[in-house]
Amino acid sequence: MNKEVFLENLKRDLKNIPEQDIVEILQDYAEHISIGLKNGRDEAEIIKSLGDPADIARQINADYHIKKAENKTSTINIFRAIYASAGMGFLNLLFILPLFVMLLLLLFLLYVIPFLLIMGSNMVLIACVASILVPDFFAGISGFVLSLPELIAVFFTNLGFASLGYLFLIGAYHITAFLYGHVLRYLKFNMSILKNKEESI
Amino acid sequence: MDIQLKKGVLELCVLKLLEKRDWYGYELVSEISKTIVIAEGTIYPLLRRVKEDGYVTTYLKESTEGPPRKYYNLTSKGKEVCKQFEREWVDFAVRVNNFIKLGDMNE
Repeated sequence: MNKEVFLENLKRDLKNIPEQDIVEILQDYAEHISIGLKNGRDEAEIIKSLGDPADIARQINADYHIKKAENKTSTINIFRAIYASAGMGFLNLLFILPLFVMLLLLLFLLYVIPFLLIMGSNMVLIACVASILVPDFFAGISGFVLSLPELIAVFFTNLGFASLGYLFLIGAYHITAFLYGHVLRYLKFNMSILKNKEESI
Repeated sequence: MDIQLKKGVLELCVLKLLEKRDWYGYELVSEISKTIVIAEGTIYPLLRRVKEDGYVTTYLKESTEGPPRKYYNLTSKGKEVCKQFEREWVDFAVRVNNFIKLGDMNE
């Protein structure tokens, strides 16, 4: 592999890195290679001792996306960080994948359950109000004939359900924030294991 | 702490070298690969990381031969971190050595 191929391969494997950073990274390696040549080393030998550009790119990608996720909280960023970590190696995917699936399931339950609770109870509330205004409305849609006190009881029960749904949503938000921090720590832990392997210390 | 420590060994070596003077990338890489067997290309991502963390700053300096070189300068934050890493490493090494000695005596 010569200098051009090395730099091209490195550039190709840098994913979602800002243009300015890519220019800097490529400059660093170009500088390294040209100084090595000045020192009388063989080009192929310099490239060989630098290592596989794909490995270098994976390391830079993972560093960059984890740093970014730390600085700015957003779902896209954390998925990118997970993706970058997963790119560190297939074996690592075995660690990342259960985490990813668990996270998705949890988020699903955390938001969908209260959402359904709120939607459902709101529909019953509307039906209750409607049947007070339009007699037999409730019986018409549900088949149950309810007296006024029964309607009021159903109304307040569902008001309770709706409030419970909102409380769950607030809880879900806090749990998501908490999870976010821990997923990041988990990824960093993974990275530190892999880095030890890659840098062969 | 121990995993952080292992990951930090290479970082410690880089910071330790920068404690004495400013180095350019190629120098750092050749100096470190005298002692530690690594793919030389992995030092540059590490240098980017310590720059991101504010442990070093960089500047370009013309050289008498070839293109300008990027020099790395240790910041005061970097100096503090370097001292802390060094303490942790020495402490860790002492513990491991004691452990090995103890094992030898039991044989």
